[in-house]
Amino acid sequence: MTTGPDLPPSPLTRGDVILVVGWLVLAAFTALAGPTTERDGPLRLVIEIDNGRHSQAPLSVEDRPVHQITIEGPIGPTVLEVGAGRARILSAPCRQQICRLSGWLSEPGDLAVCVPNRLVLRVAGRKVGHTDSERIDGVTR
Amino acid sequence: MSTRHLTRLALLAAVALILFVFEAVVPRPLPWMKLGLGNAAVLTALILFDWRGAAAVTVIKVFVGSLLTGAFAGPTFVLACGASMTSLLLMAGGLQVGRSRVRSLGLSAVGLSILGACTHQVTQLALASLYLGHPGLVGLAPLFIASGLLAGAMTGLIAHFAVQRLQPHPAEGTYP
Repeated sequence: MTTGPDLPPSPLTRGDVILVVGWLVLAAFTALAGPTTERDGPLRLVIEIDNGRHSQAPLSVEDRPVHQITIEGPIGPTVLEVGAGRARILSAPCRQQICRLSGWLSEPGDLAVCVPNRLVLRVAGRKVGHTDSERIDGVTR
Repeated sequence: MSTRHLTRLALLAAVALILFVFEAVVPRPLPWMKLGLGNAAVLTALILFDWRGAAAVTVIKVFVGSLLTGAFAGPTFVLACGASMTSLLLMAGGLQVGRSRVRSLGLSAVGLSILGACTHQVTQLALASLYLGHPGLVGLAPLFIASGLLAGAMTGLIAHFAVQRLQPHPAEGTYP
């Protein structure tokens, strides 16, 4: 007569709880200590491609309506739509399309990444109306 | 390893592969979020067999799965490969802790699955950061860890029930 395999205990052991708390602490730590995007200057899209090629596109310019930008990456062109305070990827040459499915980027810190095409898009700057003085419509005495 | 046990391990590998391919074609709530259902089969193999059995299931899942979904040998394949191996390594370590003298710190199947899922997420993010040469991806870590916790708990429950039902009959002796 042999015994069965040495099974792990039923869920919610002390070890389980310690593990989950540990991951939550790590998540909180990366949220607080992780690099943050530049929060000053006008709202803009920072385009980083292939380890170091940089460019920036303002997200809203009054005399420039919504327009498209094509970026040539290692595996092909990625087409962006930029304007009216937001940006998104219109088409991408990669297989999984994770970058395109990330949708609209509009808040500072928003990120879209395409690993196959080595492309990182992020929103930097400050949204107009995000300081106290700008949020108040008017003051009367 | 008896033919019966080899057959069972092969079935677990087949299940892992089917779940992997199934997940690749199903729409997701967030583009980078995956349940990692295949990991339930890997963890079941790890608990019932040993780390070698689980490694065989992982290798079949990642290699054949990537051939079937068309990701083979691309950069995302390297990410998936590295993340799956690291995740298996930590789950095997976690299981050994529970079987050693510090039993009180042992993890359940759900705990092991969470350990594997979060490790998978963090490794993938770290490899992507290295490949892109971009530290900014650390900003995604809290989201990735949160989704690892959720997905790991769900697949861990599946593995927990699978293990209960797939235990060898006493007359068969233990696996490998």
